[in-house]
Amino acid sequence: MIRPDRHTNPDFSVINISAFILKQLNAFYAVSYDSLLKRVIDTLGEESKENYPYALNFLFLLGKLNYQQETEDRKSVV
Amino acid sequence: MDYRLELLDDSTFEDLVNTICQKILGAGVISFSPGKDGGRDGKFSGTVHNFPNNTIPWSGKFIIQAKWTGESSASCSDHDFEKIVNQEIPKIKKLKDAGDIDCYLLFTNRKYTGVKGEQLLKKIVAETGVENSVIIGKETINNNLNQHKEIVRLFRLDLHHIPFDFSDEEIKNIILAFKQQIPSIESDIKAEVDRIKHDFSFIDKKEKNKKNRLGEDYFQNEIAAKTLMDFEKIERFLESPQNEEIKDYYYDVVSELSNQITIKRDNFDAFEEIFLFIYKMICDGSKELKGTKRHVTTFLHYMYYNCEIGLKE
Repeated sequence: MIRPDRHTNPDFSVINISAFILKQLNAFYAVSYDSLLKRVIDTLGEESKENYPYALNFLFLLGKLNYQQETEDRKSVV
Repeated sequence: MDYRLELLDDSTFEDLVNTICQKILGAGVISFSPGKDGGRDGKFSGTVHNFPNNTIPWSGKFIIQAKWTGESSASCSDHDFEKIVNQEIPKIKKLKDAGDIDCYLLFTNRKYTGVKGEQLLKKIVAETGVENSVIIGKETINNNLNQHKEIVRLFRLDLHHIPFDFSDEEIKNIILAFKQQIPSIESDIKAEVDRIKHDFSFIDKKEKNKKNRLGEDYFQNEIAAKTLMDFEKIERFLESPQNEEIKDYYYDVVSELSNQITIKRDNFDAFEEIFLFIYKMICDGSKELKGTKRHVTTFLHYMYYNCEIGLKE
């Protein structure tokens, strides 16, 4: 999933989507799940929707973001 | 060589059969136009030299019948074919009673099976009284065509691909059909699957064709001219994250095909024969691919072009 293969489209890869999410969180600090998804789709394309949750999981595992259940916002921890 | 007679149509198959008969019986074969034919697609009168053999050749009034099917896996054992034979028997009897038949040739592009095929032939002889009867299946038709390449060119049977719109659903079905027909991947070759998945190297096509003994004509006329236009669709399908699971199946298929090609390479001369071999292996066992079998070749060409099968070094 993370490691690209012969047929990975770099635009829709977990790595690329993760990089985009990080840029957004650096600019906006906290953003809702749906808003962030909309920005990902608007910028990278509809097909990026599929790997969006995996990108969030990836960043969470790396300790690069937190989830605030009260507000359902994604908060970046740098 | 197995010519894809199932891609013809009824009328063209009849013409093909009559043309073959001109070679094996004689130039005096007469074709009948489409319509009520009373059990005849062609006829010939006279003595032949080499049919069925040159020791006791047949003579008299020959009646030729052609029965085409669009199914590549159809055989003379199928219930359909038995029904067809049963329908033809009264027509043959009528011709026999009128003195219009001495020899009956029934051509079909179905596989001729030893047991059932012979049973049907005996039934024809027993119920019609026409002793000199024969059912000629696709194996014999292919042999005749191999001996008369001018007929192959005349009917363009050497073309292997007919352009057609290629949908995502068809791509998915083809990958799944490949997966079904190829034995389960053993765990010890998972490493091989992984290697193929992450091998990003390619080779110049001229060099690849030379290493793999793929004819330049075949590459230009079949791959570059016909199937190359569909490769982008396959690429986009495989790149789409939604098709991740199907993509994994695709890699399993590629790995297994690559193994089989390596093992069986010496059984073939030109690489294009391997394409045909795999095509038959996939299509003959699959009912799901009805209507999309032509794209199996596209897929094989894609795998070859993408350096996923065939030698690179």
